[in-house]
Amino acid sequence: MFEHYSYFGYTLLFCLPPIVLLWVRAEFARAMREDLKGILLSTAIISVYGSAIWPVAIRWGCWSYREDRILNRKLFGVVYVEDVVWWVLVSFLFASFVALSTRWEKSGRDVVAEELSGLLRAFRDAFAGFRAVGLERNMAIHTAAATGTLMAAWLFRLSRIEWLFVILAVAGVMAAELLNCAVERLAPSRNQQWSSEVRLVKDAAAAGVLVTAVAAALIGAVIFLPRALAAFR
Amino acid sequence: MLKAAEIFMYPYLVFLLIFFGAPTLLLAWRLRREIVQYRRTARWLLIFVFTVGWLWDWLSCRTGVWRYDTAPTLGLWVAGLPVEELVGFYLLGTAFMFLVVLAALRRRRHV
Repeated sequence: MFEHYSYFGYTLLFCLPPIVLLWVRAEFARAMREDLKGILLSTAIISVYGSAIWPVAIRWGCWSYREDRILNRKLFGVVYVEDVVWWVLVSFLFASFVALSTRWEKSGRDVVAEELSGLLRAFRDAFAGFRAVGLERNMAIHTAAATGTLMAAWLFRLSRIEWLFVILAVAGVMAAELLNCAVERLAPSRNQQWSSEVRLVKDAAAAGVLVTAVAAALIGAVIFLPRALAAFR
Repeated sequence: MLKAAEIFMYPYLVFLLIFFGAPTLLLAWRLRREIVQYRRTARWLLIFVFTVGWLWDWLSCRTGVWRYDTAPTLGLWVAGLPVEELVGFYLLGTAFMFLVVLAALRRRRHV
């Protein structure tokens, strides 16, 4: 897929996201920083060991690389550069996770189970948020418009790029309207006692919906109008 | 069943046993208490390796980044990979790395 960068690319693709996932969370990073020396030490040991034994495996014929899928550059003329990168990233990922998880486990907690249940709860809450669709007049209008737009897109057999624009426009308007609905619920009734800041927040949220709705209408006009005119001509 | 001499016909198996099996056994003996204490972490590591790790391995094989010859392996293929890779490398490799990290952490914070 990535030609000479295939091995390198896959390694980055499979290792960097989980490493970022672990280290970008302040709570996790704080815990792992306390074990940073242990993490780096084990990364160094595993990387050196792995990089040293991998050429043996290749010489013994355990596996082979396709020349057009690797960079064909060897470190010290012995081990492929990608193999070294593979060992460094994989061992760093392992060490980071083990440091974090063992720290949690020591206090009777399961970091992965907690994260998964938290994620599940977030999804459940998000889906529950769709209740707002039936509560607000504008939300109902946008939902009806979105349904009509998607039906028209299907009937007019839009191209892939056009579909992307339509989906983005519809999702943008719906998301903005949901956020606006949330803001409206926080300051529900018309009250003369509102501070000017609260009024500004509500108006700004409504303006946000207007911007996305106008943009969606323009996108709809560019995509559907020529087709509609041609159909009626 | 394999006879002792026949094992050397399978270099990948021998490679895994020598370079991962032996150090893993030694480390496992040294860290036997910690392994029991942190079995949940070990279980999650294995789950990740056998799902995401397998996908990565399979994808690399499928797109020709690396390939396993049938000759130097046992010839048993599971889910597109030789059985040594799935059982040997995934299990022993994961155990080896887990134990090295545990050993390094033990020195620093007495896990």
